[in-house]
Amino acid sequence: MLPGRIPVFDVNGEIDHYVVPELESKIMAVMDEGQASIILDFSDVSYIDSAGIALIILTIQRSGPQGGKVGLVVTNRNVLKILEIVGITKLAEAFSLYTSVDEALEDMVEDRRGE
Amino acid sequence: MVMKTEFSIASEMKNLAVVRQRVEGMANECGFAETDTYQMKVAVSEAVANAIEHGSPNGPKNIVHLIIECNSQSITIEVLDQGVFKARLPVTNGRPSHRGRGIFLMTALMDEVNITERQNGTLVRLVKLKEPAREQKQAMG
Repeated sequence: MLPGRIPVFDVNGEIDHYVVPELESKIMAVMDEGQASIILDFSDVSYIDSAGIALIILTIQRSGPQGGKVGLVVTNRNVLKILEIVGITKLAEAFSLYTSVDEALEDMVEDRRGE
Repeated sequence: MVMKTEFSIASEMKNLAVVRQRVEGMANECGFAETDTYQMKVAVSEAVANAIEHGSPNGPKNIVHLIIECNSQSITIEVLDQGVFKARLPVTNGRPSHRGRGIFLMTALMDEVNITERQNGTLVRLVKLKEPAREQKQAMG
C-alpha cells in the first residue's frame, strides 16, 4: 500500500453473519491507519446478507466524517440486487458504486485532486 | 409434486452456509429459477441468523429447526427457534442495526413472511411463489 494511495480491500466468497465480525475488524484496522477512503473490492463476492450491508454502512459512517469516501466494486448481479433493495446504491454522500477496481481508483483519485 | 425435507442445526452462525446449501438444493429440485433461489437463500439465512442471535437463550446448545416443502406452485420454508420474540427488539448500541434490515430483506425477497409466537419458540414462515403462480396472484389483484 503506497502512501497517499487509496487502499483496496479485497473480499471473496460469501459475506454473512458468520464472517462479518472478522472482516469488520480487518477493514476497521485499515481505517485506523489513518485512511479516510477505501475501496472494497467485492468482485468475487457471491453472496451478501444484512450483516454485510451493515458493514458497508459502518465503513461509510467511518469514512465520511474524515472527508473520505467508500468505493464499492460489485459485479455479481444478485449481490447488486440485494444492495438495490436496501437502497444502498442510492447513497450519494461518501459512497460510490463501481464495476471494476480500475474504475474506482481512477474516479476516487480524480476526486482527491479536485479537493 | 410435493417434496419435503426437515433438519436441525446447532445454533451457530457458522451453520448458515449449510442452511443456504440445503435451501439451494431443494429449490433446484423444485425447479426454481436462479434469481428466485438466490433470494430465498438470503431470506432464510436472515431468518436463521435472527434465530441464532435472538432465539437461542442457551447459545450453541440450542437448535434451529427447518422444514422446507415445495410443490408445483411454491416453496415454503419454516424456521423454528427456541427463544421468545419479544426479547429481540432492535438494539443498536450506536452501530447500524442490521436486524430491522434483515426483516425488511425477508419481506422484500419473499411473497409471504409470517412470524408466529409459540410456547416453545418463534416460528418464521417464508413462502416464495414460482413465476407463473406469482403472475396469476398479481393478475387477481
